Amino acid sequence: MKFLVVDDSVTMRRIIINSLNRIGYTDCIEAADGAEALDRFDASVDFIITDWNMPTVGGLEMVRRLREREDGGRVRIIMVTTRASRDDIVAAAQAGVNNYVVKPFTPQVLKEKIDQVLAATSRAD
Amino acid sequence: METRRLTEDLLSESEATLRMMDALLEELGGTEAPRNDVMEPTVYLRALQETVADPERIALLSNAFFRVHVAIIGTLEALRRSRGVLERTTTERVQRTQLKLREVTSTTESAATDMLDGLDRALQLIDRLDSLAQGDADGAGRKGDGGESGQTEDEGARIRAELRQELFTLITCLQFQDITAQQLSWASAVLADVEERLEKITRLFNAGFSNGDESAEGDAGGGKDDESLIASADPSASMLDAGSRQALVDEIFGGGGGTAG
Repeated sequence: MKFLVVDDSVTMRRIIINSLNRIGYTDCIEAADGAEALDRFDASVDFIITDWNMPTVGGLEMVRRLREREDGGRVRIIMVTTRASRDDIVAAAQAGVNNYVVKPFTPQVLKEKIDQVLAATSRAD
Repeated sequence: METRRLTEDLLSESEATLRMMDALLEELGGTEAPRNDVMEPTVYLRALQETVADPERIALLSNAFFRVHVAIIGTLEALRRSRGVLERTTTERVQRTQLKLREVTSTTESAATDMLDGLDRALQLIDRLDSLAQGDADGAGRKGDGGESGQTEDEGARIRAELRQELFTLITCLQFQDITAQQLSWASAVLADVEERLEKITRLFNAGFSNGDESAEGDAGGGKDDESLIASADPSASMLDAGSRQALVDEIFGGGGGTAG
Protein backbone atom coordinates (compact mmCIF):
# COMPACT_ATOMS: atom_id res chain seq x y z
CA MET A 1 0.00 0.00 0.00
CA LYS A 2 1.43 3.36 -1.10
CA PHE A 3 1.04 6.46 1.11
CA LEU A 4 1.37 10.12 0.19
CA VAL A 5 2.17 12.22 3.29
CA VAL A 6 1.41 15.93 2.90
CA ASP A 7 2.52 18.45 5.55
CA ASP A 8 4.45 21.72 5.41
CA SER A 9 6.33 20.75 8.58
CA VAL A 10 9.34 18.52 7.88
CA THR A 11 9.17 17.29 11.49
CA MET A 12 5.55 16.21 11.10
CA ARG A 13 6.25 14.42 7.81
CA ARG A 14 9.04 12.49 9.49
CA ILE A 15 6.87 11.63 12.50
CA ILE A 16 3.98 10.44 10.32
CA ILE A 17 6.24 8.40 8.02
CA ASN A 18 7.97 6.95 11.08
CA SER A 19 4.59 5.98 12.53
CA LEU A 20 3.51 4.42 9.22
CA ASN A 21 6.74 2.43 9.05
CA ARG A 22 6.17 1.20 12.60
CA ILE A 23 2.66 0.10 11.66
CA GLY A 24 4.11 -1.75 8.67
CA TYR A 25 3.54 0.64 5.76
CA THR A 26 6.94 1.40 4.27
CA ASP A 27 6.02 2.67 0.80
CA CYS A 28 5.67 6.40 1.44
CA ILE A 29 6.19 9.50 -0.66
CA GLU A 30 5.84 13.06 0.64
CA ALA A 31 4.81 16.57 -0.37
CA ALA A 32 5.29 19.93 1.40
CA ASP A 33 1.90 21.44 0.49
CA GLY A 34 -1.33 20.81 -1.40
CA ALA A 35 0.02 22.03 -4.74
CA GLU A 36 2.97 19.65 -4.61
CA ALA A 37 0.66 16.83 -3.51
CA LEU A 38 -1.63 17.40 -6.51
CA ASP A 39 1.45 17.19 -8.75
CA ARG A 40 2.81 14.07 -7.10
CA PHE A 41 -0.46 12.20 -6.85
CA ASP A 42 -1.16 9.46 -9.36
CA ALA A 43 -3.22 6.28 -9.47
CA SER A 44 -0.50 4.31 -7.70
CA VAL A 45 -1.19 6.18 -4.43
CA ASP A 46 -3.64 4.28 -2.20
CA PHE A 47 -3.74 6.52 0.84
CA ILE A 48 -3.15 10.20 1.59
CA ILE A 49 -2.36 11.56 5.05
CA THR A 50 -2.65 15.33 4.87
CA ASP A 51 -2.39 18.42 7.05
CA TRP A 52 -4.97 21.23 6.71
CA ASN A 53 -3.04 24.50 7.28
CA MET A 54 -0.44 24.78 4.53
CA PRO A 55 0.79 27.56 2.26
CA THR A 56 -0.07 27.74 -1.47
CA VAL A 57 -2.83 25.11 -1.51
CA GLY A 58 -4.21 24.02 1.87
CA GLY A 59 -5.30 20.49 2.75
CA LEU A 60 -9.04 21.08 2.39
CA GLU A 61 -8.68 22.71 -1.03
CA MET A 62 -6.37 19.89 -2.12
CA VAL A 63 -8.95 17.26 -1.13
CA ARG A 64 -11.70 19.11 -3.03
CA ARG A 65 -9.56 19.36 -6.17
CA LEU A 66 -8.48 15.75 -5.87
CA ARG A 67 -12.05 14.49 -5.53
CA GLU A 68 -12.94 16.33 -8.76
CA ARG A 69 -10.20 14.48 -10.62
CA GLU A 70 -10.95 11.24 -12.39
CA ASP A 71 -8.03 9.48 -10.69
CA GLY A 72 -8.69 11.01 -7.24
CA GLY A 73 -12.19 9.83 -6.46
CA ARG A 74 -11.26 6.58 -4.75
CA VAL A 75 -8.05 7.38 -2.92
CA ARG A 76 -8.42 7.12 0.87
CA ILE A 77 -7.71 10.32 2.72
CA ILE A 78 -7.09 11.05 6.40
CA MET A 79 -6.76 14.65 7.54
CA VAL A 80 -4.23 15.10 10.39
CA THR A 81 -4.55 18.61 11.78
CA THR A 82 -4.69 20.87 14.82
CA ARG A 83 -8.09 22.21 13.70
CA ALA A 84 -10.74 20.55 15.78
CA SER A 85 -13.90 22.64 15.74
CA ARG A 86 -17.15 20.95 14.74
CA ASP A 87 -17.42 23.18 11.65
CA ASP A 88 -13.92 22.24 10.50
CA ILE A 89 -14.50 18.52 10.96
CA VAL A 90 -17.83 18.68 9.10
CA ALA A 91 -16.23 20.74 6.29
CA ALA A 92 -13.50 18.12 5.93
CA ALA A 93 -16.05 15.29 5.81
CA GLN A 94 -18.06 17.16 3.19
CA ALA A 95 -14.94 17.78 1.10
CA GLY A 96 -14.40 14.02 0.90
CA VAL A 97 -12.03 13.17 3.73
CA ASN A 98 -12.47 9.57 4.94
CA ASN A 99 -11.34 10.19 8.50
CA TYR A 100 -9.76 12.79 10.70
CA VAL A 101 -7.01 12.78 13.33
CA VAL A 102 -6.35 15.65 15.74
CA LYS A 103 -2.76 16.68 16.42
CA PRO A 104 -0.98 15.77 18.60
CA PHE A 105 -1.81 12.15 17.88
CA THR A 106 -0.48 8.82 19.04
CA PRO A 107 0.57 6.19 16.50
CA GLN A 108 -2.18 3.97 17.93
CA VAL A 109 -4.85 6.50 16.93
CA LEU A 110 -3.39 6.81 13.43
CA LYS A 111 -3.34 3.02 13.03
CA GLU A 112 -6.91 2.77 14.30
CA LYS A 113 -8.12 5.35 11.76
CA ILE A 114 -6.23 3.71 8.88
CA ASP A 115 -7.76 0.34 9.78
CA GLN A 116 -11.25 1.88 10.00
CA VAL A 117 -10.89 3.55 6.60
CA LEU A 118 -9.56 0.36 5.02
CA ALA A 119 -12.43 -1.67 6.49
CA ALA A 120 -15.06 0.86 5.38
CA THR A 121 -13.70 1.29 1.86
CA SER A 122 -13.31 -2.45 1.34
CA ARG A 123 -16.95 -2.89 2.41
CA ALA A 124 -17.92 -0.17 -0.07
CA ASP A 125 -16.02 -1.99 -2.83
CA MET B 1 -14.05 51.19 6.54
CA GLU B 2 -14.49 53.24 9.69
CA THR B 3 -10.73 53.40 10.25
CA ARG B 4 -10.20 54.61 6.67
CA ARG B 5 -12.85 57.31 7.03
CA LEU B 6 -11.36 58.47 10.33
CA THR B 7 -7.90 58.46 8.81
CA GLU B 8 -9.04 60.65 5.91
CA ASP B 9 -10.90 62.99 8.27
CA LEU B 10 -7.87 63.30 10.50
CA LEU B 11 -5.60 64.01 7.56
CA SER B 12 -7.80 66.76 6.14
CA GLU B 13 -8.33 68.34 9.56
CA SER B 14 -4.59 68.29 10.28
CA GLU B 15 -3.90 69.98 6.94
CA ALA B 16 -6.56 72.60 7.62
CA THR B 17 -5.03 73.28 11.04
CA LEU B 18 -1.56 73.66 9.59
CA ARG B 19 -2.86 76.07 6.94
CA MET B 20 -4.57 78.15 9.64
CA MET B 21 -1.43 78.23 11.78
CA ASP B 22 0.52 79.33 8.73
CA ALA B 23 -2.01 82.08 8.00
CA LEU B 24 -1.90 83.19 11.62
CA LEU B 25 1.87 83.47 11.58
CA GLU B 26 1.69 85.51 8.40
CA GLU B 27 -0.91 87.77 9.96
CA LEU B 28 1.24 88.21 13.04
CA GLY B 29 4.53 88.73 11.26
CA GLY B 30 3.30 90.61 8.21
CA THR B 31 5.02 89.89 4.89
CA GLU B 32 8.52 90.79 6.06
CA ALA B 33 8.97 87.60 8.07
CA PRO B 34 10.78 85.05 5.91
CA ARG B 35 8.83 81.74 5.51
CA ASN B 36 10.22 78.46 6.86
CA ASP B 37 12.58 80.33 9.21
CA VAL B 38 12.25 80.45 12.97
CA MET B 39 11.11 83.94 13.93
CA GLU B 40 13.56 85.84 16.10
CA PRO B 41 12.04 86.67 19.53
CA THR B 42 12.57 90.39 18.97
CA VAL B 43 10.84 90.27 15.58
CA TYR B 44 8.03 88.26 17.10
CA LEU B 45 7.63 90.71 19.97
CA ARG B 46 7.62 93.68 17.57
CA ALA B 47 4.94 91.99 15.45
CA LEU B 48 2.91 91.30 18.57
CA GLN B 49 3.32 94.87 19.75
CA GLU B 50 2.11 96.18 16.36
CA THR B 51 -0.83 93.80 16.41
CA VAL B 52 -1.86 94.82 19.93
CA ALA B 53 -1.61 98.48 18.97
CA ASP B 54 -4.01 98.00 16.03
CA PRO B 55 -7.62 97.21 17.15
CA GLU B 56 -8.53 95.82 13.69
CA ARG B 57 -5.63 93.38 13.81
CA ILE B 58 -6.56 92.41 17.40
CA ALA B 59 -10.05 91.44 16.19
CA LEU B 60 -8.48 89.49 13.32
CA LEU B 61 -6.12 87.73 15.71
CA SER B 62 -8.91 86.74 18.05
CA ASN B 63 -10.90 85.38 15.14
CA ALA B 64 -7.90 83.42 13.85
CA PHE B 65 -7.22 82.03 17.33
CA PHE B 66 -10.82 80.88 17.56
CA ARG B 67 -10.64 79.14 14.16
CA VAL B 68 -7.39 77.41 15.11
CA HIS B 69 -8.85 76.42 18.47
CA VAL B 70 -11.84 74.80 16.75
CA ALA B 71 -9.57 73.02 14.28
CA ILE B 72 -7.30 71.71 17.07
CA ILE B 73 -10.29 70.45 19.04
CA GLY B 74 -11.57 68.71 15.89
CA THR B 75 -8.18 67.14 15.26
CA LEU B 76 -7.90 65.93 18.85
CA GLU B 77 -11.39 64.45 18.62
CA ALA B 78 -10.47 62.64 15.38
CA LEU B 79 -7.29 61.38 17.05
CA ARG B 80 -9.29 60.14 20.02
CA ARG B 81 -11.66 58.28 17.69
CA SER B 82 -8.73 56.78 15.71
CA ARG B 83 -7.19 55.60 18.95
CA GLY B 84 -10.53 54.07 19.97
CA VAL B 85 -10.81 52.17 16.70
CA LEU B 86 -7.23 50.95 16.97
CA GLU B 87 -7.77 49.90 20.58
CA ARG B 88 -10.99 48.03 19.85
CA THR B 89 -9.56 46.15 16.89
CA THR B 90 -6.20 45.24 18.36
CA THR B 91 -6.49 44.86 22.13
CA GLU B 92 -8.42 41.61 22.05
CA ARG B 93 -6.11 40.08 19.43
CA VAL B 94 -2.99 41.18 21.27
CA GLN B 95 -4.30 39.70 24.53
CA ARG B 96 -5.08 36.42 22.74
CA THR B 97 -1.61 36.47 21.23
CA GLN B 98 -0.13 36.91 24.68
CA LEU B 99 -2.04 33.83 25.86
CA LYS B 100 -0.81 31.87 22.82
CA LEU B 101 2.77 32.86 23.55
CA ARG B 102 2.35 31.68 27.13
CA GLU B 103 0.98 28.41 25.76
CA VAL B 104 4.09 28.07 23.56
CA THR B 105 6.21 28.35 26.71
CA SER B 106 4.18 25.76 28.59
CA THR B 107 4.04 23.46 25.54
CA THR B 108 7.80 23.47 25.08
CA GLU B 109 8.32 22.97 28.82
CA SER B 110 5.86 20.08 28.94
CA ALA B 111 7.41 18.47 25.83
CA ALA B 112 10.90 18.85 27.30
CA THR B 113 9.73 17.23 30.57
CA ASP B 114 8.12 14.33 28.66
CA MET B 115 11.29 13.81 26.66
CA LEU B 116 13.50 13.94 29.77
CA ASP B 117 11.23 11.40 31.48
CA GLY B 118 11.40 9.18 28.39
CA LEU B 119 15.19 9.46 28.27
CA ASP B 120 15.41 8.57 32.00
CA ARG B 121 13.30 5.47 31.40
CA ALA B 122 15.39 4.57 28.33
CA LEU B 123 18.60 4.89 30.37
CA GLN B 124 17.15 2.67 33.11
CA LEU B 125 16.26 0.06 30.49
CA ILE B 126 19.84 0.18 29.13
CA ASP B 127 21.13 -0.29 32.71
CA ARG B 128 18.90 -3.35 33.04
CA LEU B 129 20.23 -4.70 29.73
CA ASP B 130 23.77 -4.17 31.05
CA SER B 131 22.90 -6.04 34.26
CA LEU B 132 21.46 -8.89 32.24
CA ALA B 133 24.56 -9.05 30.06
CA GLN B 134 26.75 -9.01 33.19
CA GLY B 135 24.65 -11.82 34.69
CA ASP B 136 25.05 -13.77 31.46
CA ALA B 137 28.79 -13.33 31.56
CA ASP B 138 28.92 -14.48 35.22
CA GLY B 139 26.65 -17.42 34.43
CA ALA B 140 28.83 -18.47 31.49
CA GLY B 141 31.78 -18.44 33.88
CA ARG B 142 29.88 -20.75 36.27
CA LYS B 143 28.58 -22.91 33.33
CA GLY B 144 24.92 -22.05 34.11
CA ASP B 145 22.11 -24.31 32.88
CA GLY B 146 20.14 -23.73 29.64
CA GLY B 147 16.84 -22.88 31.40
CA GLU B 148 18.32 -19.86 33.16
CA SER B 149 19.89 -18.64 29.90
CA GLY B 150 16.53 -18.91 28.12
CA GLN B 151 14.88 -16.78 30.82
CA THR B 152 17.58 -14.16 30.43
CA GLU B 153 17.05 -14.05 26.66
CA ASP B 154 13.31 -13.55 27.11
CA GLU B 155 13.91 -10.79 29.63
CA GLY B 156 16.42 -9.17 27.26
CA ALA B 157 13.95 -9.26 24.37
CA ARG B 158 11.25 -7.74 26.57
CA ILE B 159 13.52 -4.90 27.70
CA ARG B 160 14.61 -4.18 24.12
CA ALA B 161 10.96 -3.99 23.02
CA GLU B 162 10.26 -1.60 25.90
CA LEU B 163 13.28 0.49 24.95
CA ARG B 164 12.15 0.64 21.31
CA GLN B 165 8.71 1.81 22.44
CA GLU B 166 10.23 4.50 24.68
CA LEU B 167 12.34 5.83 21.82
CA PHE B 168 9.37 5.80 19.47
CA THR B 169 7.30 7.73 22.02
CA LEU B 170 10.10 10.31 22.12
CA ILE B 171 9.77 10.74 18.36
CA THR B 172 6.02 11.36 18.59
CA CYS B 173 6.65 13.89 21.42
CA LEU B 174 8.35 16.05 18.79
CA GLN B 175 4.94 16.97 17.40
CA PHE B 176 5.17 19.92 19.77
CA GLN B 177 7.42 21.57 17.15
CA ASP B 178 4.58 21.69 14.62
CA ILE B 179 2.04 22.87 17.21
CA THR B 180 4.25 25.67 18.54
CA ALA B 181 5.23 26.68 14.99
CA GLN B 182 1.54 27.22 14.20
CA GLN B 183 0.98 29.15 17.43
CA LEU B 184 3.98 31.38 16.71
CA SER B 185 2.94 31.91 13.08
CA TRP B 186 -0.43 33.14 14.30
CA ALA B 187 1.15 35.44 16.90
CA SER B 188 3.52 36.78 14.27
CA ALA B 189 0.64 37.48 11.86
CA VAL B 190 -1.23 39.40 14.59
CA LEU B 191 1.85 41.49 15.40
CA ALA B 192 2.36 42.25 11.70
CA ASP B 193 -1.26 43.39 11.50
CA VAL B 194 -0.90 45.67 14.55
CA GLU B 195 2.35 47.05 13.15
CA GLU B 196 0.60 47.85 9.87
CA ARG B 197 -2.21 49.69 11.68
CA LEU B 198 0.27 51.73 13.73
CA GLU B 199 2.27 52.50 10.61
CA LYS B 200 -0.85 53.87 8.93
CA ILE B 201 -1.37 56.26 11.83
CA THR B 202 2.30 57.29 11.81
CA ARG B 203 2.10 57.93 8.07
CA LEU B 204 -0.90 60.12 8.74
CA PHE B 205 1.20 62.40 10.94
CA ASN B 206 4.13 62.32 8.50
CA ALA B 207 1.95 63.14 5.50
CA GLY B 208 1.88 66.86 6.31
CA PHE B 209 5.66 67.11 6.59
CA SER B 210 7.08 64.84 3.90
CA ASN B 211 6.69 64.35 0.18
CA GLY B 212 5.04 60.93 0.54
CA ASP B 213 8.12 58.76 -0.02
CA GLU B 214 7.76 57.20 3.41
CA SER B 215 4.31 55.85 2.70
CA ALA B 216 5.58 54.15 -0.46
CA GLU B 217 8.39 52.65 1.59
CA GLY B 218 5.89 51.43 4.16
CA ASP B 219 3.83 49.62 1.55
CA ALA B 220 6.83 47.68 0.32
CA GLY B 221 6.67 45.25 3.28
CA GLY B 222 6.65 41.45 3.05
CA GLY B 223 2.98 40.89 2.25
CA LYS B 224 3.66 37.50 0.70
CA ASP B 225 5.47 36.29 3.81
CA ASP B 226 2.50 37.40 5.92
CA GLU B 227 0.13 35.42 3.71
CA SER B 228 2.31 32.35 4.02
CA LEU B 229 2.42 32.81 7.81
CA ILE B 230 -1.36 33.03 8.03
CA ALA B 231 -1.85 30.01 5.76
CA SER B 232 0.37 27.88 8.01
CA ALA B 233 -1.06 29.24 11.25
CA ASP B 234 -3.85 27.91 13.38
CA PRO B 235 -4.95 30.03 16.37
CA SER B 236 -6.54 26.97 17.95
CA ALA B 237 -3.39 24.81 17.69
CA SER B 238 -2.77 23.26 21.09
CA MET B 239 -1.16 20.29 22.78
CA LEU B 240 -3.95 20.32 25.37
CA ASP B 241 -7.06 18.12 25.39
CA ALA B 242 -6.16 16.22 22.24
CA GLY B 243 -8.25 13.31 23.56
CA SER B 244 -11.50 15.24 23.91
CA ARG B 245 -10.98 16.92 20.52
CA GLN B 246 -10.45 13.51 18.93
CA ALA B 247 -13.65 12.33 20.62
CA LEU B 248 -15.58 15.05 18.77
CA VAL B 249 -14.09 13.79 15.49
CA ASP B 250 -15.16 10.23 16.31
CA GLU B 251 -18.66 11.47 17.09
CA ILE B 252 -18.94 13.19 13.69
CA PHE B 253 -17.30 10.40 11.70
CA GLY B 254 -19.23 7.83 13.71
CA GLY B 255 -16.05 5.99 14.67
CA GLY B 256 -16.05 4.53 11.16
CA GLY B 257 -13.92 5.24 8.13
CA GLY B 258 -16.47 6.85 5.80
CA THR B 259 -16.25 6.28 2.09
CA ALA B 260 -14.30 8.11 -0.52
CA GLY B 261 -15.95 10.42 -3.02
